[in-house]
Amino acid sequence: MGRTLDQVRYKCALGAMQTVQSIDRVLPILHAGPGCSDKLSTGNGNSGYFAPRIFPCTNLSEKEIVFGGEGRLRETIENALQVIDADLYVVLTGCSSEIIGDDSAEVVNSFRLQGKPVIHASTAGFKGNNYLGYEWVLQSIFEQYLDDGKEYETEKGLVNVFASLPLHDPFWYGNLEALENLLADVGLTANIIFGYDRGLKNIGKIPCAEFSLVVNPWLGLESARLLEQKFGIPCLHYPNLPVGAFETGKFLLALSEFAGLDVEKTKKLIAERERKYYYYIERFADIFLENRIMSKRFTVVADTQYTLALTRFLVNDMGLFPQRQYAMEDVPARHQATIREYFRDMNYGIEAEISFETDGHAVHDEIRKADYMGYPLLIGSSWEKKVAEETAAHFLPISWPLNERLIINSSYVGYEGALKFLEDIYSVVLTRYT
Amino acid sequence: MNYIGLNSPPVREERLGTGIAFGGTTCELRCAQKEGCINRANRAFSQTQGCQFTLSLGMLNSLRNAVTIMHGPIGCGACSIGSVGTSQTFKRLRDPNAEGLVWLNTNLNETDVIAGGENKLREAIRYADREFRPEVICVPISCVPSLIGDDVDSVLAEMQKETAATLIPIHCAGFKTKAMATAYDDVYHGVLRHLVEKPDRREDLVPDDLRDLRQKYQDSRTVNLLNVGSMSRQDETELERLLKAIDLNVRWLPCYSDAEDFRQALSSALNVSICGTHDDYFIEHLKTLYGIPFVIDVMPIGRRNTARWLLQIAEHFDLQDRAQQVIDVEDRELDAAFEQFRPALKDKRVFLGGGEIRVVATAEILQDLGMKVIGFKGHHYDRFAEPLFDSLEDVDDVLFDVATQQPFEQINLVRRLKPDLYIGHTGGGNLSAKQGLPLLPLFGPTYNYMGYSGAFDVARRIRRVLANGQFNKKIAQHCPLPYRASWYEKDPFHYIKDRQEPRGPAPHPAGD
Repeated sequence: MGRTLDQVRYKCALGAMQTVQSIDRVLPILHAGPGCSDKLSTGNGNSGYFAPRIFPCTNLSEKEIVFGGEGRLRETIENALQVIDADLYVVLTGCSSEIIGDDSAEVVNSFRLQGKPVIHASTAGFKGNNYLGYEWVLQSIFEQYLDDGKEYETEKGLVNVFASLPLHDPFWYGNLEALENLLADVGLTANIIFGYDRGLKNIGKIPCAEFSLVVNPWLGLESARLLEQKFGIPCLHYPNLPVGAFETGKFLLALSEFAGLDVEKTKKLIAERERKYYYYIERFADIFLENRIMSKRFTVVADTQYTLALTRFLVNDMGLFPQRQYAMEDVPARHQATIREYFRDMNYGIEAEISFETDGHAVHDEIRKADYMGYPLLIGSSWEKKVAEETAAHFLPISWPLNERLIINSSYVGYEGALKFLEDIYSVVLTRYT
Repeated sequence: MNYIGLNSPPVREERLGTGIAFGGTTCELRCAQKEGCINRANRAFSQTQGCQFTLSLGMLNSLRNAVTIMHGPIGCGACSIGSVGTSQTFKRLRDPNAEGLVWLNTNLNETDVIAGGENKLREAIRYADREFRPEVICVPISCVPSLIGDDVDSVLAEMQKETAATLIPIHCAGFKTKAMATAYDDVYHGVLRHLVEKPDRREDLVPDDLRDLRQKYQDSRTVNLLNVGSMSRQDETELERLLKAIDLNVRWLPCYSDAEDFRQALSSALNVSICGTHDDYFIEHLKTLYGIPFVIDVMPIGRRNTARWLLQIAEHFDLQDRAQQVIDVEDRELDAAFEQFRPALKDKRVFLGGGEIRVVATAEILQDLGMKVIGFKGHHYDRFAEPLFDSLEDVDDVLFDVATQQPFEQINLVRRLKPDLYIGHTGGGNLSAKQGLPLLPLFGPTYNYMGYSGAFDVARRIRRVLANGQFNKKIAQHCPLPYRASWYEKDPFHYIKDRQEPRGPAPHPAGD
């Protein structure tokens, strides 16, 4: 969608520098204007080994705009290899270098031919947002770094996992860890490329996986399909990020069936987990049952993975009713019809209306007009703070931009995650009494 | 100075001979500046730096009753998200009913790159005008519309006929200059051309000579103080206190102002800059166009700079004696207050990095406390930092790295110089912490640096950060910096092009 935007939830494709940054010891090199990185570096916990100020950048100026920037790029890559200690260098091209027609791929290829660990992804800001940029970076890694001529031996039980958008989604890290743990519970090993001590070691294992698991309504799907084409790795697309007992149980079963595991064993595991989960719920049931302040209606304004996951949890586990829900990350049109179906697939035939939006201002007008039959429960981003004040909502910000919370590695995924989510919601609700 | 007829201001490389690539001693740097050979910008290796678009937003986003329309792809201006809260808080200090920051983005895509983005901009302006009813709509123009040839000036001139808001184009495409500070000229240029006008439309229905005389007297004792985005409210309060002590009134511009403030400002008696890098374009033009005199000299950080700054303002109103009395009292109080800090801070070695005006000005407080300034890093260099050296002693041999960001040079330098404390611009702190150094931010929205109370506050905070450096020590122990060992063997200024000869200090033996 190309219209003017207010209160936007994403950055441009060059924001994929955060995808690169979140892979241990992999460094983005920007062939872009001098300020691009500064503009795009807001995110969740990005002062890592390669903080954005470390990224080499050609800082394109008028001279390169007129005479071309390929020489400048060559020089920058050459010296980046000498100055900065990385395992892989990913050249990302921004708007200006692409408009002036620099052949960056060619420059990068000349380094690859010399055996240098440099690859290239085209991420001009006008071509798409950072969600798409994430896919383009993944695809570049699969195409340029992984060698598809080679025979890879399949490792039993190894699963490539793709879920949330690194460094942009505040819970990206916790989500991946929670999924890793759930996989381990049924005897599978997650192969994740993002985060602590993974990096090239795990990228190298991608072609050895038994299958790829994409836990997102759409993001990462096309990259996983590329792995299917190139290396014959099948893909399990599980659209819903599992939150709470009901959805996590479903997830574990689907996973076990796909992986050909002992389903009965998984069912036992689920029963055991649910017993403990409901031990906690039971102890706090008073609050959930007798709180007369919390309305039964809610809205989620976030990227689709949370809109779907939290809606399903609140309906299928907590017995609430969805108002209109909002998916804010400019979901590509080709995925929208399928995603609508996911919102119709809930218990007791309950369905949620889902709007694919990009402009927060328009969404807020609708929220103001909606009748929540009490204080609304509003889950969104910092942009929703104002409309939450106006509607006296119980407001929990969870999605980018998230200015008022610090999320290090927590997550709402699984059994534990759902309890954390309830803690967070009711920590807001209960302030109504104070 | 009069560039007001141009659509956009000249870049600073051309107008001021500003340079962003130099490594050498302070003495060499100042000589080079005087000889006009500082004007360099080339490195064979560079890291991300920041552009004039981003810096323009620092001022634009602070304007009250205004909407910013970023004309570019969706990533341009994404950094504004972080300033939404502070912007609202600070605006409400001026006007409790002020709205927080509203910004839109024209979201240029591949089709627009081919077909042009002018129509989208028209739509965005129409929408902003009707939906938000602001007084002012600022349109910072990013690289893409500049490259594809959008004629934003014409679009805005044409749209002005159908909008209630005043439309201001800001020409700040990132690729046009490497001297980021050109951003200030870009914003002031737009403000001067579209907002600053004599408020002569308002004539009173009932004439009142006495009130007019009173107003005239008030105006003749009023100065426009030009604030900068890195100032805190405490800084403003302190400078206001000093000027009130010599019986002057203060009007604050340009940050957190609204359109009316710019009109009112034309009746003030004097324009006072706090930072030469920030304001020269604006106040020189106000002199040329409206005959308002100005003071542009030092930044009032440190007691000598503050006194010099205050005396220059006082001189204009013939209030030097009074100012001197204030200075004497403040000096005595600061002397007494500093006593408690001197023993702990004496001879501690400090490296400062950030805006060239601020780092040199802040160094005065350090010397005042008996600390040793052993290295500077400035975003750029031109003549505006010069007056600040008058307040410093023995800094001729101190190294000065002129670089916008480029932490690789600083890390190398710091490793050789081994300071006890790093005082630096926001965003690079995590890198210096990895060198195990205690860290004091060079500025902060809630801290006081300026004037006498600022000197005290800085001293107090330095003592505190030096007293417990545990966090940074631990970070250094566990989190290495990402540079190759061979980089530390090289001269810190190795990648600056067209240098005469390496002048950095000898490489430090291996290890830390």
